[in-house]
Amino acid sequence: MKEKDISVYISKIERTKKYSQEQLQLIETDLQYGLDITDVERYCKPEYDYSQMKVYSKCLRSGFPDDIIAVICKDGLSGQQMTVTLEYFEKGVSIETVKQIADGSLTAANMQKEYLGVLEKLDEAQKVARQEPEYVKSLMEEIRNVVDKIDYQEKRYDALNEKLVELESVKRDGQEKKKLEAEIKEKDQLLNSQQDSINQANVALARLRKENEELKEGLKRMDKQQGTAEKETGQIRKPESSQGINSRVTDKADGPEWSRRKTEAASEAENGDYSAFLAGYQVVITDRTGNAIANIPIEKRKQKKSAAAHIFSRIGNKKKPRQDIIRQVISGELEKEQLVQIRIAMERGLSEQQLTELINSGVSAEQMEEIIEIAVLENSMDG
Amino acid sequence: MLKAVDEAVIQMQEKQAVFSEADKEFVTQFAFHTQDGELTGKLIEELWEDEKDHEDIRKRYGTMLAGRENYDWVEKVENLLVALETYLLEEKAAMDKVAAVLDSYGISPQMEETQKVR
Repeated sequence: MKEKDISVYISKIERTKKYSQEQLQLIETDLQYGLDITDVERYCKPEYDYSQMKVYSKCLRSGFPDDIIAVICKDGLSGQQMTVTLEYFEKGVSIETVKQIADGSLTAANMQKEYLGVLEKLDEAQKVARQEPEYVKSLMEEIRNVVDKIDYQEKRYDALNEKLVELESVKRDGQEKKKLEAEIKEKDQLLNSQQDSINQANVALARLRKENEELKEGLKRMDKQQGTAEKETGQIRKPESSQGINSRVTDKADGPEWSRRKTEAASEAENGDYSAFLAGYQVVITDRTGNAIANIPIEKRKQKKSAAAHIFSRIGNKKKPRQDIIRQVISGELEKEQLVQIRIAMERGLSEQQLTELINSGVSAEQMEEIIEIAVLENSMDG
Repeated sequence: MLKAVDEAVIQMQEKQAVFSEADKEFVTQFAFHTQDGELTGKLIEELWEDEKDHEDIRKRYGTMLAGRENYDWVEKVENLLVALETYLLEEKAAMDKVAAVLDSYGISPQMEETQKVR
């Protein structure tokens, strides 16, 4: 605001004669300070004396907000009360406290006492506040330590929990192991029973082999008899007619079957096929004089080559290797126990090749015994 | 600072009595604020012997704390610290029991590290 304008304004309000010289001077100073006319007019109230206007002016110059000014320059407060209130507000008393004290019921002196009390408390609080940070710091440090320890306990809990889970897993594994063991035991029992069956079968097989050997022996004897018979057969007279032969053939069977066989045999005999004719009958061998010298049972009538002859042929085929075995046994310089084992091996039905290998193995009699058992087992498995 | 609280909790555990939560809290707070082990022990004894008038006992011993003036927030921090310490001690005791049971079954997870905690 220009000096000239300020002078014009002061002259104007001077003419109203409402303000003292002090007040006019205050207004002029404020305007020169830089306050607006609107600001100045806020305290240019007829009811305000100079001291009140001065407090208001100071509030404006300090730039206090309107709500603070309203508390400090509250209507009804004297200039002195306003002065005390402003003073303690400036010293740091909160506006709330100022508001409470400056309610107009206290004199300026009492207000000052109140404010002093508040200030003392403030000083004390400030002292405590200065000490508190150290204490609070130590508290926070302790809290941090405790939280760290709680963290550790949590980790410990996790470790324990992990162990418990492992324990549970081991328990489950144990159950699984028991189950598997039970299954294995069951399978072992099954295997044992099957082994027993195999052993029984082996025993039966050995028995059958023995019977087979006996039968072979029987067949050998029959072979000899047949040999003799064949020699004798050459001396048998060729029958004159089929009826002549028929009259020499005896059979236990009677009736229609016998008649049919007899007819077929007769017809084959007529064709010169005597071997077919002879099959299935008991042939009476006679000498030149017609006396019976032997009876030969022939089972299969139609077979051109008899079963006995077949077996004989097989034995005949094996004759050479057997002879080889005998030769090997003789040349092998085997002990008596070893020879016994070779005999047992033959009885147990070992093949020619197996026997040869056994003879040439050079192992002891005890080992031979075991080898024979293995070979028998192998043969039974192959069979 | 927390030694008095630890001692108070151990004393309560040694009594093998079931103290109410209110009693436990009061004892630990009392121990922390007074830092007086002897007085705290006396308080625990009284609470242990007298089964009925715990409220009176707490009120009587509470007057000893009445002279203290502190800011609300500082008091809250103190209470938090005491509560955390009490929780830690309870948790540790529980974990020790579990570890002892597992140990009897031959399972000892990180026991050597456990000893380092306290």
